[in-house]
Amino acid sequence: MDSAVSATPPGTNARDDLPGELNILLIEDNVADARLAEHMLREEPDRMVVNIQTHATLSGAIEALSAEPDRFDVVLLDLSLPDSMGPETFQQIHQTAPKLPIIVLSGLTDEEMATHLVSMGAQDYMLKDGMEPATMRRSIRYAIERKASSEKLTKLNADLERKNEELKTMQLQLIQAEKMESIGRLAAGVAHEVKNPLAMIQLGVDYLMEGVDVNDPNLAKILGRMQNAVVRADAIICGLVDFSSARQLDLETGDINALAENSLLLVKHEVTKKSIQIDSSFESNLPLVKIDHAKMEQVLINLLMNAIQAMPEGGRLGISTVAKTLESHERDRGARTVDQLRTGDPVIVLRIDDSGCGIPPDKIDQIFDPFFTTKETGQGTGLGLTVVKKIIELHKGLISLENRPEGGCRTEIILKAAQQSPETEQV
Amino acid sequence: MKRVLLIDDEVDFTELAQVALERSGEFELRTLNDARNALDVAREFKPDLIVSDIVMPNKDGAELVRELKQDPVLKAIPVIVMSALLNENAIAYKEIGELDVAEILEKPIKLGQLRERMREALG
Repeated sequence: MDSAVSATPPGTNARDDLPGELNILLIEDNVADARLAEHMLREEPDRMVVNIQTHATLSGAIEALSAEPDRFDVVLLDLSLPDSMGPETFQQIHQTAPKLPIIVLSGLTDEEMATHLVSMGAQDYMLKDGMEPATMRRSIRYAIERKASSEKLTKLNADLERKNEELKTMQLQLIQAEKMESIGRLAAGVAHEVKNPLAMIQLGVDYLMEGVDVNDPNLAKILGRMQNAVVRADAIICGLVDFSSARQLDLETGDINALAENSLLLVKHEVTKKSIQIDSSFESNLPLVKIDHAKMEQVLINLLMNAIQAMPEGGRLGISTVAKTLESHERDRGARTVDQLRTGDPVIVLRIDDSGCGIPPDKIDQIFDPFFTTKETGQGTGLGLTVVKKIIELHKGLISLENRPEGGCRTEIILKAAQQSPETEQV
Repeated sequence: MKRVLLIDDEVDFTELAQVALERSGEFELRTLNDARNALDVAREFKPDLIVSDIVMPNKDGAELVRELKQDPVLKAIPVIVMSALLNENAIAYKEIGELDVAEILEKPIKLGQLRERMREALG
Protein backbone atom coordinates (compact mmCIF):
# COMPACT_ATOMS: atom_id res chain seq x y z
CA MET A 1 0.00 0.00 0.00
CA ASP A 2 2.69 2.49 -0.94
CA SER A 3 1.31 5.74 -2.26
CA ALA A 4 2.38 9.33 -2.63
CA VAL A 5 -0.30 11.87 -1.94
CA SER A 6 0.02 15.51 -2.66
CA ALA A 7 -2.52 17.61 -0.82
CA THR A 8 -3.54 21.23 -0.69
CA PRO A 9 -2.86 23.67 -3.50
CA PRO A 10 0.65 25.02 -3.81
CA GLY A 11 1.32 27.85 -1.42
CA THR A 12 4.12 30.14 -0.49
CA ASN A 13 3.75 29.93 3.25
CA ALA A 14 6.95 29.43 5.13
CA ARG A 15 5.66 30.22 8.61
CA ASP A 16 7.56 29.24 11.75
CA ASP A 17 10.74 28.44 9.84
CA LEU A 18 9.16 25.35 8.37
CA PRO A 19 10.00 24.43 4.82
CA GLY A 20 7.51 25.84 2.32
CA GLU A 21 6.81 22.30 1.26
CA LEU A 22 6.49 19.58 3.86
CA ASN A 23 7.61 16.07 2.89
CA ILE A 24 6.34 13.46 5.26
CA LEU A 25 7.25 9.80 5.37
CA LEU A 26 4.35 7.95 6.96
CA ILE A 27 5.17 4.41 8.04
CA GLU A 28 1.93 2.69 8.96
CA ASP A 29 0.62 -0.75 8.00
CA ASN A 30 -2.96 -0.21 9.14
CA VAL A 31 -4.83 1.15 6.12
CA ALA A 32 -7.47 2.92 8.17
CA ASP A 33 -4.91 4.58 10.47
CA ALA A 34 -2.88 5.65 7.49
CA ARG A 35 -5.86 7.20 5.76
CA LEU A 36 -6.84 9.00 8.94
CA ALA A 37 -3.38 10.42 9.35
CA GLU A 38 -3.19 11.47 5.71
CA HIS A 39 -6.57 13.09 6.01
CA MET A 40 -5.55 15.08 9.05
CA LEU A 41 -2.31 16.17 7.47
CA ARG A 42 -4.15 17.38 4.40
CA GLU A 43 -6.24 19.58 6.62
CA GLU A 44 -3.26 21.85 6.90
CA PRO A 45 -4.93 25.28 6.94
CA ASP A 46 -1.76 27.17 6.16
CA ARG A 47 -1.97 26.43 2.43
CA MET A 48 1.33 24.60 2.71
CA VAL A 49 2.16 21.89 0.20
CA VAL A 50 2.19 18.61 2.06
CA ASN A 51 3.64 15.57 0.32
CA ILE A 52 3.04 12.30 2.05
CA GLN A 53 4.72 9.06 1.10
CA THR A 54 3.27 6.08 2.91
CA HIS A 55 4.97 2.74 3.48
CA ALA A 56 3.42 -0.28 5.19
CA THR A 57 6.66 -2.14 5.90
CA LEU A 58 9.94 -1.32 7.60
CA SER A 59 11.92 -2.64 4.66
CA GLY A 60 9.94 -0.50 2.21
CA ALA A 61 10.49 2.58 4.38
CA ILE A 62 14.20 1.90 4.77
CA GLU A 63 14.52 1.45 1.04
CA ALA A 64 12.82 4.80 0.42
CA LEU A 65 14.98 6.53 3.04
CA SER A 66 18.18 5.04 1.68
CA ALA A 67 17.30 5.97 -1.88
CA GLU A 68 16.60 9.63 -1.05
CA PRO A 69 18.08 10.43 2.36
CA ASP A 70 17.41 14.17 2.04
CA ARG A 71 13.91 13.99 0.66
CA PHE A 72 11.87 13.91 3.88
CA ASP A 73 11.37 16.50 6.57
CA VAL A 74 9.80 14.22 9.16
CA VAL A 75 8.87 10.59 9.79
CA LEU A 76 5.59 9.49 11.35
CA LEU A 77 6.18 5.97 12.57
CA ASP A 78 3.95 3.17 13.77
CA LEU A 79 6.13 0.75 15.74
CA SER A 80 4.11 -2.38 14.95
CA LEU A 81 4.78 -3.34 11.37
CA PRO A 82 4.56 -6.73 9.63
CA ASP A 83 8.36 -7.01 9.50
CA SER A 84 9.31 -5.28 12.79
CA MET A 85 7.93 -4.65 16.26
CA GLY A 86 8.49 -2.23 19.13
CA PRO A 87 11.56 -0.06 19.78
CA GLU A 88 13.52 -2.11 17.26
CA THR A 89 11.42 -0.50 14.50
CA PHE A 90 12.37 2.95 15.73
CA GLN A 91 16.00 1.93 16.06
CA GLN A 92 16.14 0.76 12.45
CA ILE A 93 14.63 3.95 11.03
CA HIS A 94 16.74 6.15 13.30
CA GLN A 95 19.91 4.36 12.19
CA THR A 96 19.00 4.70 8.53
CA ALA A 97 18.28 8.44 8.80
CA PRO A 98 19.86 9.73 12.01
CA LYS A 99 19.24 13.36 11.10
CA LEU A 100 15.53 12.97 10.43
CA PRO A 101 13.02 13.85 13.19
CA ILE A 102 10.78 10.88 14.04
CA ILE A 103 7.35 11.06 15.67
CA VAL A 104 6.16 7.71 16.98
CA LEU A 105 2.46 6.90 16.53
CA SER A 106 1.00 4.37 18.93
CA GLY A 107 -2.33 2.78 19.65
CA LEU A 108 -1.44 2.34 23.32
CA THR A 109 -0.74 4.69 26.20
CA ASP A 110 2.61 3.48 27.42
CA GLU A 111 4.46 6.15 29.38
CA GLU A 112 7.47 3.94 29.91
CA MET A 113 7.78 3.16 26.22
CA ALA A 114 7.29 6.83 25.34
CA THR A 115 10.07 7.93 27.69
CA HIS A 116 12.31 5.16 26.42
CA LEU A 117 11.81 6.16 22.80
CA VAL A 118 12.40 9.82 23.47
CA SER A 119 15.63 8.90 25.27
CA MET A 120 16.62 6.95 22.16
CA GLY A 121 16.10 10.05 20.02
CA ALA A 122 12.40 10.15 19.09
CA GLN A 123 10.99 13.65 18.94
CA ASP A 124 7.48 12.82 20.09
CA TYR A 125 5.13 9.98 21.01
CA MET A 126 1.54 10.43 19.84
CA LEU A 127 -1.55 8.40 20.57
CA LYS A 128 -3.49 7.55 17.43
CA ASP A 129 -6.77 7.85 19.34
CA GLY A 130 -6.14 11.37 20.53
CA MET A 131 -4.87 12.67 17.19
CA GLU A 132 -6.39 15.81 15.77
CA PRO A 133 -5.07 18.04 12.97
CA ALA A 134 -3.92 20.92 15.20
CA THR A 135 -1.99 18.67 17.64
CA MET A 136 -0.45 16.78 14.78
CA ARG A 137 0.70 19.91 12.97
CA ARG A 138 2.12 21.32 16.18
CA SER A 139 3.90 18.08 16.94
CA ILE A 140 5.40 17.98 13.45
CA ARG A 141 6.53 21.59 13.63
CA TYR A 142 8.13 21.13 17.03
CA ALA A 143 9.73 17.87 15.97
CA ILE A 144 11.39 19.50 12.97
CA GLU A 145 12.52 22.52 14.95
CA ARG A 146 13.83 20.48 17.85
CA LYS A 147 15.68 18.14 15.55
CA ALA A 148 17.18 21.05 13.62
CA SER A 149 18.31 22.71 16.87
CA SER A 150 19.77 19.49 18.14
CA GLU A 151 21.59 18.93 14.83
CA LYS A 152 22.92 22.46 15.03
CA LEU A 153 24.04 21.86 18.60
CA THR A 154 25.72 18.61 17.65
CA LYS A 155 27.56 20.37 14.86
CA LEU A 156 28.55 23.29 17.08
CA ASN A 157 29.68 20.84 19.71
CA ALA A 158 31.80 18.96 17.19
CA ASP A 159 33.30 22.29 16.07
CA LEU A 160 34.03 23.17 19.67
CA GLU A 161 35.66 19.82 20.32
CA ARG A 162 37.79 20.17 17.20
CA LYS A 163 38.82 23.69 18.17
CA ASN A 164 39.56 22.49 21.67
CA GLU A 165 41.80 19.75 20.24
CA GLU A 166 43.56 22.32 18.07
CA LEU A 167 44.07 24.53 21.09
CA LYS A 168 45.46 21.63 23.08
CA THR A 169 47.88 20.76 20.27
CA MET A 170 48.98 24.37 19.99
CA GLN A 171 49.40 24.59 23.73
CA LEU A 172 51.57 21.47 23.67
CA GLN A 173 53.65 22.95 20.87
CA LEU A 174 54.01 26.16 22.83
CA ILE A 175 55.05 24.30 25.96
CA GLN A 176 57.53 22.31 23.89
CA ALA A 177 58.93 25.48 22.32
CA GLU A 178 59.16 27.11 25.72
CA LYS A 179 60.86 24.03 27.11
CA MET A 180 63.41 24.13 24.30
CA GLU A 181 63.89 27.82 24.96
CA SER A 182 64.65 27.22 28.64
CA ILE A 183 66.84 24.22 27.85
CA GLY A 184 68.67 26.48 25.40
CA ARG A 185 69.20 29.17 28.00
CA LEU A 186 70.19 26.60 30.59
CA ALA A 187 72.59 24.88 28.21
CA ALA A 188 74.18 28.19 27.27
CA GLY A 189 74.60 29.16 30.90
CA VAL A 190 75.97 25.76 31.86
CA ALA A 191 78.27 25.79 28.84
CA HIS A 192 79.79 29.13 29.75
CA GLU A 193 80.24 28.16 33.38
CA VAL A 194 81.69 24.73 32.58
CA LYS A 195 83.85 25.61 29.60
CA ASN A 196 85.74 28.30 31.49
CA PRO A 197 86.95 25.93 34.22
CA LEU A 198 87.63 23.36 31.47
CA ALA A 199 89.83 25.96 29.78
CA MET A 200 91.86 26.25 32.96
CA ILE A 201 92.18 22.49 33.43
CA GLN A 202 93.20 22.24 29.78
CA LEU A 203 95.96 24.82 30.06
CA GLY A 204 97.08 23.35 33.41
CA VAL A 205 97.26 19.80 32.09
CA ASP A 206 99.10 20.99 28.98
CA TYR A 207 101.56 22.91 31.12
CA LEU A 208 102.24 19.85 33.28
CA MET A 209 102.56 17.58 30.23
CA GLU A 210 105.19 19.79 28.69
CA GLY A 211 107.34 19.56 31.81
CA VAL A 212 106.58 15.98 32.69
CA ASP A 213 109.28 13.83 34.30
CA VAL A 214 110.21 11.30 31.63
CA ASN A 215 111.23 8.80 34.33
CA ASP A 216 107.67 8.55 35.59
CA PRO A 217 105.57 6.96 32.82
CA ASN A 218 102.47 7.07 35.03
CA LEU A 219 102.54 10.84 35.12
CA ALA A 220 102.26 11.16 31.34
CA LYS A 221 99.57 8.49 31.31
CA ILE A 222 97.48 10.22 33.98
CA LEU A 223 97.83 13.60 32.32
CA GLY A 224 96.85 12.03 28.99
CA ARG A 225 93.67 10.65 30.56
CA MET A 226 92.88 14.02 32.08
CA GLN A 227 93.42 15.59 28.69
CA ASN A 228 90.89 13.19 27.14
CA ALA A 229 88.43 13.90 29.93
CA VAL A 230 88.53 17.61 29.13
CA VAL A 231 87.94 16.95 25.43
CA ARG A 232 85.04 14.65 26.26
CA ALA A 233 83.35 17.04 28.67
CA ASP A 234 83.75 19.84 26.15
CA ALA A 235 82.20 17.73 23.37
CA ILE A 236 79.12 17.01 25.52
CA ILE A 237 78.67 20.66 26.37
CA CYS A 238 79.07 21.69 22.73
CA GLY A 239 76.57 19.04 21.67
CA LEU A 240 74.02 20.30 24.19
CA VAL A 241 74.45 23.88 23.08
CA ASP A 242 74.21 22.79 19.44
CA PHE A 243 71.07 20.81 20.09
CA SER A 244 69.31 23.51 22.03
CA SER A 245 70.39 26.39 19.84
CA ALA A 246 69.43 24.70 16.58
CA ARG A 247 66.16 26.60 16.40
CA GLN A 248 66.52 28.83 13.41
CA LEU A 249 67.99 28.41 9.99
CA ASP A 250 69.80 30.84 7.78
CA LEU A 251 68.33 29.55 4.52
CA GLU A 252 69.91 30.10 1.13
CA THR A 253 69.51 28.33 -2.16
CA GLY A 254 72.36 25.89 -2.44
CA ASP A 255 73.81 22.91 -4.26
CA ILE A 256 73.94 19.72 -2.22
CA ASN A 257 76.54 18.23 -4.57
CA ALA A 258 78.98 21.05 -3.89
CA LEU A 259 78.30 20.81 -0.19
CA ALA A 260 78.82 17.04 -0.21
CA GLU A 261 82.09 17.32 -2.12
CA ASN A 262 83.32 19.99 0.24
CA SER A 263 82.37 17.89 3.28
CA LEU A 264 84.27 14.95 1.80
CA LEU A 265 87.36 17.14 1.55
CA LEU A 266 87.03 18.05 5.22
CA VAL A 267 87.07 14.39 6.32
CA LYS A 268 89.71 13.35 3.76
CA HIS A 269 92.36 13.00 6.43
CA GLU A 270 90.30 10.45 8.37
CA VAL A 271 89.40 8.60 5.18
CA THR A 272 93.05 8.23 4.18
CA LYS A 273 94.13 7.26 7.69
CA LYS A 274 91.64 4.36 7.85
CA SER A 275 92.26 3.34 4.19
CA ILE A 276 88.64 3.77 3.25
CA GLN A 277 87.58 3.75 -0.38
CA ILE A 278 85.11 6.40 -1.46
CA ASP A 279 82.43 5.60 -4.04
CA SER A 280 80.76 8.84 -4.96
CA SER A 281 78.02 9.36 -7.49
CA PHE A 282 76.60 12.84 -7.74
CA GLU A 283 73.76 13.41 -10.17
CA SER A 284 74.59 16.25 -12.51
CA ASN A 285 72.07 19.09 -12.82
CA LEU A 286 70.71 18.27 -9.40
CA PRO A 287 67.94 20.72 -8.45
CA LEU A 288 68.97 23.30 -5.88
CA VAL A 289 67.63 23.20 -2.34
CA LYS A 290 66.99 25.75 0.38
CA ILE A 291 69.56 25.03 3.06
CA ASP A 292 71.48 26.53 5.92
CA HIS A 293 74.99 25.88 4.62
CA ALA A 294 76.80 25.78 7.95
CA LYS A 295 74.22 23.52 9.60
CA MET A 296 73.91 21.20 6.60
CA GLU A 297 77.70 20.90 6.45
CA GLN A 298 77.61 19.98 10.14
CA VAL A 299 75.07 17.26 9.26
CA LEU A 300 77.18 15.85 6.43
CA ILE A 301 80.41 15.85 8.41
CA ASN A 302 78.68 14.19 11.33
CA LEU A 303 77.24 11.46 9.08
CA LEU A 304 80.53 10.96 7.22
CA MET A 305 82.46 10.72 10.50
CA ASN A 306 79.92 8.18 11.81
CA ALA A 307 80.40 6.12 8.65
CA ILE A 308 84.18 6.36 8.93
CA GLN A 309 84.16 5.43 12.62
CA ALA A 310 81.98 2.41 11.78
CA MET A 311 84.86 1.06 9.64
CA PRO A 312 88.01 1.15 11.80
CA GLU A 313 89.61 -1.53 9.64
CA GLY A 314 88.74 0.23 6.42
CA GLY A 315 85.93 -0.36 3.97
CA ARG A 316 83.82 1.41 1.41
CA LEU A 317 82.05 4.68 1.95
CA GLY A 318 79.35 5.42 -0.59
CA ILE A 319 77.94 8.87 -1.07
CA SER A 320 75.38 9.68 -3.74
CA THR A 321 72.78 12.23 -4.72
CA VAL A 322 69.77 11.78 -6.94
CA ALA A 323 66.73 13.85 -7.91
CA LYS A 324 63.31 12.22 -7.86
CA THR A 325 59.65 12.48 -7.00
CA LEU A 326 58.78 11.40 -3.49
CA GLU A 327 56.86 8.13 -3.38
CA SER A 328 54.51 7.36 -0.55
CA HIS A 329 56.22 4.18 0.66
CA GLU A 330 59.44 6.07 1.18
CA ARG A 331 57.91 8.14 3.92
CA ASP A 332 57.63 5.37 6.46
CA ARG A 333 60.67 3.23 5.89
CA GLY A 334 63.33 2.70 8.53
CA ALA A 335 63.74 4.99 11.51
CA ARG A 336 61.86 7.93 10.01
CA THR A 337 61.53 11.27 11.63
CA VAL A 338 58.53 13.59 11.51
CA ASP A 339 56.78 13.51 8.18
CA GLN A 340 57.25 16.90 6.57
CA LEU A 341 57.02 16.10 2.88
CA ARG A 342 54.16 15.10 0.64
CA THR A 343 53.96 12.32 -1.89
CA GLY A 344 54.68 13.73 -5.32
CA ASP A 345 57.03 16.46 -4.07
CA PRO A 346 60.15 16.93 -6.21
CA VAL A 347 63.00 15.99 -3.89
CA ILE A 348 66.71 15.35 -3.82
CA VAL A 349 67.97 12.28 -2.02
CA LEU A 350 71.40 12.10 -0.44
CA ARG A 351 72.67 8.70 0.64
CA ILE A 352 75.65 7.81 2.74
CA ASP A 353 76.50 4.10 2.93
CA ASP A 354 79.17 2.38 4.96
CA SER A 355 80.36 -1.21 5.00
CA GLY A 356 80.74 -1.33 8.78
CA CYS A 357 79.03 -3.52 11.34
CA GLY A 358 75.59 -1.84 11.16
CA ILE A 359 73.30 -0.99 14.07
CA PRO A 360 71.91 -3.80 16.25
CA PRO A 361 68.27 -4.17 15.09
CA ASP A 362 66.91 -3.73 18.64
CA LYS A 363 68.76 -0.43 18.95
CA ILE A 364 67.87 1.16 15.62
CA ASP A 365 64.71 2.84 16.94
CA GLN A 366 66.73 4.70 19.56
CA ILE A 367 69.40 5.90 17.19
CA PHE A 368 68.21 9.53 17.13
CA ASP A 369 67.51 9.71 20.89
CA PRO A 370 69.59 12.16 22.95
CA PHE A 371 72.54 10.54 24.74
CA PHE A 372 72.00 7.23 22.96
CA THR A 373 75.19 5.91 21.43
CA THR A 374 76.42 2.61 20.05
CA LYS A 375 79.99 3.78 20.34
CA GLU A 376 82.16 2.73 23.27
CA THR A 377 81.84 4.74 26.46
CA GLY A 378 83.71 7.98 26.05
CA GLN A 379 83.80 7.74 22.26
CA GLY A 380 80.52 9.41 21.43
CA THR A 381 78.40 12.07 23.10
CA GLY A 382 75.11 10.55 21.95
CA LEU A 383 74.10 13.94 20.64
CA GLY A 384 75.48 13.83 17.10
CA LEU A 385 72.51 12.20 15.38
CA THR A 386 70.07 14.01 17.66
CA VAL A 387 71.39 17.31 16.38
CA VAL A 388 71.47 15.98 12.79
CA LYS A 389 67.82 14.99 13.01
CA LYS A 390 66.88 18.32 14.51
CA ILE A 391 68.62 20.19 11.70
CA ILE A 392 66.97 18.06 9.00
CA GLU A 393 63.58 18.59 10.65
CA LEU A 394 64.19 22.33 10.67
CA HIS A 395 64.78 22.00 6.92
CA LYS A 396 61.42 20.17 6.69
CA GLY A 397 63.25 17.19 5.30
CA LEU A 398 63.35 13.49 6.13
CA ILE A 399 66.18 11.45 7.53
CA SER A 400 66.28 7.70 7.90
CA LEU A 401 68.90 5.29 9.01
CA GLU A 402 68.75 1.60 8.23
CA ASN A 403 70.92 -1.46 8.03
CA ARG A 404 71.79 -2.49 4.50
CA PRO A 405 71.10 -6.11 3.53
CA GLU A 406 74.72 -6.42 2.36
CA GLY A 407 75.95 -5.11 5.74
CA GLY A 408 76.67 -1.69 7.11
CA CYS A 409 74.41 1.30 7.40
CA ARG A 410 72.60 3.55 4.99
CA THR A 411 71.63 7.05 5.98
CA GLU A 412 69.27 8.80 3.66
CA ILE A 413 68.33 12.45 3.68
CA ILE A 414 65.45 13.72 1.58
CA LEU A 415 65.09 17.45 1.01
CA LYS A 416 62.48 19.22 -1.03
CA ALA A 417 63.86 20.68 -4.24
CA ALA A 418 63.67 24.47 -4.43
CA GLN A 419 60.72 25.34 -6.62
CA GLN A 420 62.40 27.78 -8.92
CA SER A 421 65.77 27.88 -10.56
CA PRO A 422 68.01 30.68 -9.26
CA GLU A 423 67.62 32.63 -12.52
CA THR A 424 63.85 32.92 -12.27
CA GLU A 425 63.75 33.32 -8.51
CA GLN A 426 64.51 37.02 -8.51
CA VAL A 427 61.45 37.80 -10.64
CA MET B 1 110.57 38.39 23.91
CA LYS B 2 107.08 39.39 22.71
CA ARG B 3 104.92 41.42 25.02
CA VAL B 4 101.37 40.12 25.41
CA LEU B 5 98.47 41.82 27.19
CA LEU B 6 95.96 39.17 28.36
CA ILE B 7 92.50 40.31 29.46
CA ASP B 8 90.06 37.88 31.10
CA ASP B 9 87.68 38.40 34.02
CA GLU B 10 88.72 35.05 35.54
CA VAL B 11 91.70 35.60 37.83
CA ASP B 12 92.55 31.89 37.92
CA PHE B 13 92.67 31.78 34.14
CA THR B 14 94.97 34.77 33.73
CA GLU B 15 97.33 33.47 36.45
CA LEU B 16 97.45 30.01 34.93
CA ALA B 17 97.85 31.26 31.37
CA GLN B 18 100.63 33.64 32.41
CA VAL B 19 102.66 30.86 34.01
CA ALA B 20 101.99 28.45 31.14
CA LEU B 21 102.76 30.93 28.36
CA GLU B 22 105.83 32.52 29.98
CA ARG B 23 107.71 29.27 30.62
CA SER B 24 109.10 28.96 27.11
CA GLY B 25 110.65 32.41 27.42
CA GLU B 26 108.95 33.42 24.21
CA PHE B 27 106.33 35.74 25.74
CA GLU B 28 106.16 38.28 28.49
CA LEU B 29 102.62 38.67 29.83
CA ARG B 30 100.73 41.45 31.52
CA THR B 31 97.30 40.35 32.75
CA LEU B 32 94.11 42.30 33.43
CA ASN B 33 90.81 41.11 34.90
CA ASP B 34 88.75 44.11 33.86
CA ALA B 35 88.73 45.53 30.34
CA ARG B 36 87.84 49.04 31.48
CA ASN B 37 91.44 50.16 31.98
CA ALA B 38 92.81 48.02 29.16
CA LEU B 39 93.50 50.98 26.87
CA ASP B 40 95.53 52.81 29.49
CA VAL B 41 97.49 49.68 30.32
CA ALA B 42 98.07 49.04 26.62
CA ARG B 43 99.43 52.56 26.09
CA GLU B 44 101.80 52.10 28.98
CA PHE B 45 102.79 48.44 28.41
CA LYS B 46 103.00 48.71 24.59
CA PRO B 47 102.16 45.06 23.89
CA ASP B 48 102.98 43.30 20.60
CA LEU B 49 99.75 41.31 20.93
CA ILE B 50 96.50 41.62 22.85
CA VAL B 51 94.56 38.48 23.84
CA SER B 52 91.11 39.15 25.24
CA ASP B 53 88.11 37.25 26.51
CA ILE B 54 84.77 38.24 24.92
CA VAL B 55 82.15 37.85 27.65
CA MET B 56 83.19 40.04 30.59
CA PRO B 57 81.00 41.87 33.12
CA ASN B 58 82.08 45.52 32.93
CA LYS B 59 83.20 45.88 29.38
CA ASP B 60 83.05 43.10 26.80
CA GLY B 61 85.63 42.06 24.26
CA ALA B 62 83.73 43.52 21.31
CA GLU B 63 83.61 46.96 22.86
CA LEU B 64 87.28 46.74 23.74
CA VAL B 65 88.29 45.76 20.21
CA ARG B 66 86.22 48.59 18.73
CA GLU B 67 87.96 51.12 20.96
CA LEU B 68 91.37 49.66 20.25
CA LYS B 69 90.76 49.85 16.51
CA GLN B 70 89.71 53.50 16.77
CA ASP B 71 92.89 54.47 18.58
CA PRO B 72 95.53 55.79 16.12
CA VAL B 73 98.39 54.08 17.94
CA LEU B 74 96.80 50.95 19.44
CA LYS B 75 94.97 49.94 16.26
CA ALA B 76 98.18 48.47 14.87
CA ILE B 77 98.38 45.86 17.64
CA PRO B 78 97.01 42.46 16.54
CA VAL B 79 94.16 41.16 18.70
CA ILE B 80 93.07 37.61 19.46
CA VAL B 81 89.67 37.17 21.08
CA MET B 82 88.41 34.05 22.79
CA SER B 83 85.26 32.88 24.50
CA ALA B 84 83.87 29.85 26.23
CA LEU B 85 80.65 30.39 24.35
CA LEU B 86 80.76 31.54 20.77
CA ASN B 87 77.50 29.91 19.82
CA GLU B 88 75.11 31.62 22.21
CA ASN B 89 76.82 34.97 21.95
CA ALA B 90 76.16 35.06 18.26
CA ILE B 91 75.65 38.83 18.35
CA ALA B 92 78.96 39.52 20.07
CA TYR B 93 80.50 36.91 17.80
CA LYS B 94 79.17 38.56 14.65
CA GLU B 95 80.18 41.94 15.91
CA ILE B 96 83.67 40.67 16.59
CA GLY B 97 83.75 39.05 13.16
CA GLU B 98 83.14 42.41 11.55
CA LEU B 99 85.97 43.95 13.48
CA ASP B 100 89.57 43.52 12.56
CA VAL B 101 90.75 40.70 14.80
CA ALA B 102 93.57 38.30 14.01
CA GLU B 103 91.84 35.25 15.45
CA ILE B 104 88.69 34.10 17.25
CA LEU B 105 89.30 31.16 19.56
CA GLU B 106 86.95 28.96 21.54
CA LYS B 107 87.74 27.87 25.09
CA PRO B 108 88.91 25.39 26.16
CA ILE B 109 91.96 25.60 23.95
CA LYS B 110 95.12 23.52 24.07
CA LEU B 111 98.23 25.33 25.24
CA GLY B 112 100.13 24.36 22.11
CA GLN B 113 97.37 25.66 19.85
CA LEU B 114 97.06 28.91 21.75
CA ARG B 115 100.81 29.45 21.47
CA GLU B 116 100.70 28.65 17.75
CA ARG B 117 97.85 31.13 17.10
CA MET B 118 99.70 33.78 19.07
CA ARG B 119 102.84 33.26 16.99
CA GLU B 120 100.78 33.51 13.79
CA ALA B 121 99.12 36.72 14.95
CA LEU B 122 102.49 38.19 15.77
CA GLY B 123 103.54 37.37 12.21
